[in-house]
Amino acid sequence: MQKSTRARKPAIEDDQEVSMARDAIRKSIETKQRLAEECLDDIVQMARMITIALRKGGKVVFFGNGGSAADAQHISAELVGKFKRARPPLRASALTTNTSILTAIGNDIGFDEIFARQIQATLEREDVAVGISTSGRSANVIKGVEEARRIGAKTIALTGSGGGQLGPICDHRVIVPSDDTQRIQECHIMIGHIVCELIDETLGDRSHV
Amino acid sequence: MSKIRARAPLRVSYAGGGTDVPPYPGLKGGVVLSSTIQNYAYCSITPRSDGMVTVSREDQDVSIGPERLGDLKGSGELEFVRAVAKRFAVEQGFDADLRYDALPGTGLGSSSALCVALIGAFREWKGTSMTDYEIANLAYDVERKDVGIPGGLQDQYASTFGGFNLIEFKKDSNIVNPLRIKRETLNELEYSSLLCFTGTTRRSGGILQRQIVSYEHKDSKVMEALERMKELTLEMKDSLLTGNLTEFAGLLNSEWVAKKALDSAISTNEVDRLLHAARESGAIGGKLLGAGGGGFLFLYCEPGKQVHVEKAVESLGGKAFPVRFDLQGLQTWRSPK
Repeated sequence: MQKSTRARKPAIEDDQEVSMARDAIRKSIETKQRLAEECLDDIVQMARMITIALRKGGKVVFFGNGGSAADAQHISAELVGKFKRARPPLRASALTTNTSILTAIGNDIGFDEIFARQIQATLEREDVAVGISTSGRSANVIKGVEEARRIGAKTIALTGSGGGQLGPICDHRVIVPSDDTQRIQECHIMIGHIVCELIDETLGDRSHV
Repeated sequence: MSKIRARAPLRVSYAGGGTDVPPYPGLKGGVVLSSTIQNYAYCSITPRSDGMVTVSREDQDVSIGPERLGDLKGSGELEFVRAVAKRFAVEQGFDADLRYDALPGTGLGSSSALCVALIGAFREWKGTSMTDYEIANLAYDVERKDVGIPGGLQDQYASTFGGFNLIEFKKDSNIVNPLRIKRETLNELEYSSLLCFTGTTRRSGGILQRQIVSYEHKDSKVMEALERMKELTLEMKDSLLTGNLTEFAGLLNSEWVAKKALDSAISTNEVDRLLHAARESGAIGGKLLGAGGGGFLFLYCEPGKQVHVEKAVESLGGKAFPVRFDLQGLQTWRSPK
């Protein structure tokens, strides 16, 4: 094999890269281990709240910033599309996808209002709003939840960092036992998958398995 | 001879603890939000005619002396007594009886409260006229300079003034802003809050020494956390003044996250587990009090969930106590004969 002609960056040695990677995986496992020990009931309760709303003809909306926006879209895609079982598409959406709406509200009213205003436009009493924020400090997510509460919809916080300011204002919260954004997000998407699986189990059509 | 007594309240520090530790206040300005609680450090002074001194701890059945003040050997509280007596240029003998409602190392500012109580008792005995600011400043000088215990500025002010205060620490002055919080807000806060002893006391010295080094080096992660804590402190003050206790609870969570970034030893696995168990059972806000490593947690519970939270923390070895605010600060009096 031909040797690379590019000079290697001397600052990081091979073994250091390996140990950094191993460390990240170890911390991710530890966080998930604690999640399994301490948060199972909260995850199950989150799935139940969404299932109940969907059964009653309500819908569920997800929203967050950055990686949490990606999570919002990912989880709602699982519910509208197909997860494990065959079942009808479920009424789920992410409030992070319509760039015209997001830029209009952000530009004309304020970035803190991007979710609250969409919620004001579309949410009803029987719906569920899931705010996703690893720090529990995102002002637009907090405002979104506050708006959902005003409407009378159920609110769920998917968060970490002890829940921050988001946790206390929600009807229910799943708080990943970590302050580390990356580790929290890794747990969030796993929680999203678990919730989808539990909803599937309840609302899925067993004859199609 | 009648006894001169003083009691100084312990404090709960809600936000900003760490921004009061020099050299930070001189560099960037610090601010903390705290209140005092109905748990105290006590000091009783009985003048003696033989020029000798005794020091006893009522809560531990320990007594030293009688000896000449200069001949008393020992550390801890004894050093406070010696330093304060020296500051007041006391030449007479006396018995000093000391007592704590919560021991030093539990994050409630008890060692500073004891210092304030001692100064209060000596001031009363000697009839020295001092303002609250002078008492707090002297307590700081005694504890941090004469005795040489590292730490911040907030405890001495909180204990002397009492009640709810936003305390600002600047380069040349420290200002106590008493907060006028509605009685219904205070009642609700008492009703919903718990103090939880983690079962361990800590030595804050190591944590504080490292913190001081990172302040001197202006460690960017630590400096950012301190800035965040100051923002949160002001937000928390607003939430108390407007009576928004749900927001107050959430800000406790965020403050604790910022606080943990100051040093890796501030939280422990045990503290983490207790806090998480409390959250799972209905505490929507919570943090560890004091410099870190152990001591007391402050928990804000959803209405009606206190009993659940109490059970959850006690099943893990914690011990829960109700919170009652003290609105008076340092009190001194003479015992009836």
